[in-house]
Amino acid sequence: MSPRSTGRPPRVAEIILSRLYDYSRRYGMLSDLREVHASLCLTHGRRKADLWYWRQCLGALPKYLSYCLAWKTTMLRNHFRIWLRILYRNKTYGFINILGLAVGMTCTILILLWVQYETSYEKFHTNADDIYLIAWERLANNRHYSSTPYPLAERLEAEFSDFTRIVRIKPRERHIIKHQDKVFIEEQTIAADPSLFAMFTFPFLLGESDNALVDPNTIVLTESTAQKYFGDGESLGRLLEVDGVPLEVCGVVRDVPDNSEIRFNLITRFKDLRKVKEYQDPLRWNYFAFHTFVQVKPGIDPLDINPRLTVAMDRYRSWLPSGERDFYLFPLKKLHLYELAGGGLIRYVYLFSFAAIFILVISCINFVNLSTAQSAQRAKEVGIRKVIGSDRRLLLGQFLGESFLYALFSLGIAIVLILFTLPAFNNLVQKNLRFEYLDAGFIIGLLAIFLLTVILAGSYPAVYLSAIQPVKTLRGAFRIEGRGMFRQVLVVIQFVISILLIICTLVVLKQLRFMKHADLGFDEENLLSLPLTQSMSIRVQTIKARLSQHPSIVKVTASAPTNHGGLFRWEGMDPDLSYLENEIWFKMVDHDYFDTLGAEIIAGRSFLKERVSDFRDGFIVNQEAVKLMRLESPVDKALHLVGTDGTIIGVVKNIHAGYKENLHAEVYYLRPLTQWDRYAALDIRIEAGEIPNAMASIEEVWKEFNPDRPFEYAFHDAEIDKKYRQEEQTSRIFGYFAFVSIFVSCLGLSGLVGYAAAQRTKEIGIRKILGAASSEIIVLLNKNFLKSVLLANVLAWPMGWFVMREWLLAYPYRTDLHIGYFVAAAAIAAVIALLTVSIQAVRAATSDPVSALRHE
Amino acid sequence: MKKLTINEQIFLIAIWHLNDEAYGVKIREKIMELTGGDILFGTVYNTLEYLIRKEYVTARKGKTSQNKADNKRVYYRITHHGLRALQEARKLQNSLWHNFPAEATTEIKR
Repeated sequence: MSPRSTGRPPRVAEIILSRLYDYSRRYGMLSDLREVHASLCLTHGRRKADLWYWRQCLGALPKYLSYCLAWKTTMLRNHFRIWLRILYRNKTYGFINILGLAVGMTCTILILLWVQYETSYEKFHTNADDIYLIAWERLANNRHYSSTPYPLAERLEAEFSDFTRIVRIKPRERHIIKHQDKVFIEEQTIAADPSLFAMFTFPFLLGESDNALVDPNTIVLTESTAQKYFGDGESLGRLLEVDGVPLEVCGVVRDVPDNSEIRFNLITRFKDLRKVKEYQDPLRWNYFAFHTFVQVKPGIDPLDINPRLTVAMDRYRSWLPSGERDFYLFPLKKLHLYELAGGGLIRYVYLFSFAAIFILVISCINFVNLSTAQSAQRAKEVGIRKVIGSDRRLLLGQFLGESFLYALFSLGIAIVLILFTLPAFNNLVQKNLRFEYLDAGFIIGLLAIFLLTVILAGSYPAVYLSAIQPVKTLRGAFRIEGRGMFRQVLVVIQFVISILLIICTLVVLKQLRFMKHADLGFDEENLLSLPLTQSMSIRVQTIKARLSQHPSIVKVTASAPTNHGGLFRWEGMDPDLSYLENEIWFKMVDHDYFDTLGAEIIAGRSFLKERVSDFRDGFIVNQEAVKLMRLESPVDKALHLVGTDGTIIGVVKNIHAGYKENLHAEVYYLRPLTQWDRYAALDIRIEAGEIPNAMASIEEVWKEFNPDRPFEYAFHDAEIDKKYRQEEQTSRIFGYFAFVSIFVSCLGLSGLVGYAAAQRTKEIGIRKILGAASSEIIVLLNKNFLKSVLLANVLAWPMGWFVMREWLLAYPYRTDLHIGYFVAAAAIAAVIALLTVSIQAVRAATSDPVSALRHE
Repeated sequence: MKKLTINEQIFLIAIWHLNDEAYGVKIREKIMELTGGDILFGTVYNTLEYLIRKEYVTARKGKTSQNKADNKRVYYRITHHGLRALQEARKLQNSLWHNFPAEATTEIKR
C-alpha cells in the first residue's frame, strides 16, 4: 500500500471513537469520518489525514467524560443513598457488620505490623543478601552451633577465595567502663574485627568507618553510650577506661536499630584487652565463643561452598574428629526468624498470621451471614431495579460497592482502634512497633487486607442478591431458598475457628505452667546469685563467713562457671560412649553447694568438709549423667575428668533452669581442675520475707570490696521467669485472639438469631396462642445453633489435636494433650453461644403474641 | 410547536437540498457551502441526533447502492413534520424582517 493510497484511518483511534459514542454506528459517524479521512489522504497525504483523525478522536474526549460523570454518578449517588437508608433502618445489623469487620481488621493489621517488623531484621545492611554466618552441626547428636573458634577466620582467609570479607564477633562481653566519676557495667559490648563496618552498615555519626578500630587501643561507641559518658560534649578522641585500660574513642555510630540481631553499645578491638586476648591464641581451636560472618562474593552459590568448607575444616582435628561435623553457611537475614536446627520465631509468625486471617474470616462470615439473611428486605428492591432495566452486572456492582463502603468504614474504625491499642499490643509483644502510614510495604499490606475483606465479605452476598428473580419477589412474599443451609455451614466454620483458638490457648497455657512449675532440682525461691569480682574471689571464705553471720541469711555457697567438654572416662565405660567427652558439663563448687541450693542427693552422699579425700578426688554426678553413662550403681565408681582421677561419691537430682532446655550430664567437684576453675559467683539463701534486710547487708559487703563498682545481683526465680517470656507472650496473644474470635462470632450469631426470630414472629405468636411455653420457644430457636456448635467441635478437635501436637514437639519436655482441654474448649464455646442465642430467643419468646399477629 | 433555531434551520435546509444524498460528510459540506463557515463533526452529529429525536428528520441505513462504502452510511431525510416547522420558521422570519429597513441606524427617530 503506497503512502498516498486511501488507507483506513488509524485503528486505535477508530476503536476509541466507536467506544466513546455508542451511537456512532447508528448515525454513520465512523463511515463518514472514514470517508473524510480517505479524501484527506488523497489531498494532504496519509500522515496529515491520520493526524486529523486523531484530533477528531481526542477532541471528543472531554465531552464524553463529563457525560459519563453526570450519568454514572447519578446511579452511584442513588446506590449510596440506598445504602445509607438501609444502614439507618437496620442500625443493629449495620453496627454488627461494621464492628465485626473493624475488629477483624484491627487484629489482622496489628499482626501485619508485627510480622513486618519481625521480617525486617538485618535488611538495613546494604550487603545483607551476601552475608552468612558460619555454623556447624555435630552429626553425633544433630545439634547445631553458631559459635566457632577464633583461628577459623584466618584459615578461611587463607584457603578460600569465595569471600570478600570475614568478620569475627565476640558477643556478650562485659566490661566495667569508667569515665571520671561515671562507672557503669556495660553488658552489651562486643569485640570485633575492624572490617565489621565494611560488612555491616552501621552509619557513623563521628569518625570514619574506614579507619575505625584499625589503630591499637581504640573503641567505637553508639550514640547513646557516648551521650551517657560524655554528655553533649565532643566524644571523638576522648579516653574511656575499659576494665582499667584507657581506650580512645575513634568513632560514634548511630544506635543499633531494634531490628538487628547484632547488638552492641560499645565495640572493642580483639587485641587490646587482656581478658579478650586470652582466647585469641591462634592455636585455640576449642574455644567456641565467636561468630564468624563471611560476605560471599557476588555470583557464588553458598550451597557450593558448604561441602568444601567441611572438607577444609577436617584438617583441623584438634577440635573434633573429622567426619563428625558438617559446616554450612547460614544466611544473615534468617538469623532472627530461624533457628539453625530449624524452627524458631518463624513458627510464631506463621501461627499468628493464621490466627489473624482466621479472625478476619470470622468477621467476613458474619458479614456474609447477615447480608444474606437480610436478603428478603432487599428482594423487592432488586426486583424493581431489574424490572426497570438494571442488568445483573450493575446489581453486582451495587452490592459489591456496599460491601466496599462497609469495609471502608470499618477500616477507618480499625485504624482508630489500632491507634488506641498499639501501646498495649507493643507491651504484649515486647516490641516497639509504630504505625507508619507512609511505608510502602505497610500500605500494600493494608490494601491487601482491605481488598481481601471486600472480596471475602462482599462477593457471595453480591452474587446471591443479584440473582434474585423479579417475578418471584414482586408477585408475593419472597422466601429465602435453601433454608439458610449455607449460613449454617458458615456458622460452623466460625465456631471451628473459635474452638481451635481456645484449644490452642489452653494448651499453650498448660505447657507454660508445666514448664514453670517443673521440678528444677533446687529451690529457686529466695535464692540470690551474686557475682564475685576479682577483689572478692580471693577472699571468698571471709565473705562467706561474714554474710552467714547475718540473721536473715540462711546459707552461702560459692561456685565456678560451668565448663563444657573435656577428657572424660570412667570405670567400665562402653567405648561407644566416648562422645560424652563433648557433652559433659563440669563445675567446681563449694562443699555446701547442694545444701544451699536445696538440691537432693539421691544416692551416696554430698561433699563433706571434714573429708580430705572429697576435696582431692570426690565427684558428684547428676541423674542425667548416670543415665547417659548407663551406670547401674554409680556410687564408688572410678571416674577420670580432665586429668584428674577420682571416685563418684554421690548422685544429685538434675539441677536445671527449666524444661525449655535439654538436660546435661554434669559433674561437680571441689578442687580446681582447670585454669578457669575460679569461684565466680555466690549463691545466697535468704530467709523468706527478709529480702530487704539481707540485701542491705549484702550491698554493704559489696561496697567494701568494690567501692567503684555498681551493685550487681540476680534472683534465680526472676531469671527463670525471664526464660518463659516467649511462651507467656504466646499464651496471652492466643488468649486475646480466642476472645476476639469468640466475641465476633457471637456478634454474628446474635444478629442471625435476632433475624431468625424476626422472620418467625408470626410462627412464634401462633405457637404461643396455641399454648406453647416460653421455654419451648427458646429451645426451638436454640436447637439449630446448638447443632452447629456441636458439629464445630467434632471438626475442631482433631484439628486442634494435630496442630498442638506439632507445636509441643518443639519442647524437649512437654505436657500431654489431655482430653480435658478439648472438652473445656467445647464447653466454653457452647456456653457462650447458648448465652448469646438465648438472650435473643428470650426476647422473642416473651414478646406479646397479640402485637405479632395483629397486622395481617 | 417549538420554534426552530437558526442552526436547526440550516441543517434542515441542507438536508432538503441534498435530497437522497444527505449523509454526514455531504451534510457538513453543504452547510459549509451555505453558511460559508467551518463546522465541527461533533456539532453535526449532536444536532442530527437532536433533530431525529424531535422527528424533524429520519435516518436510514444506506444499502440500496452497489457501492460498498455506501452500505455503512446513514442517510437522513426531512420529514413532513420537519418541513412544516421549517415553513413556520420562514413565515416568522418574513414577518420579523417585513418592516425592518435595510438602512436602519442606532440613532433615535424623532
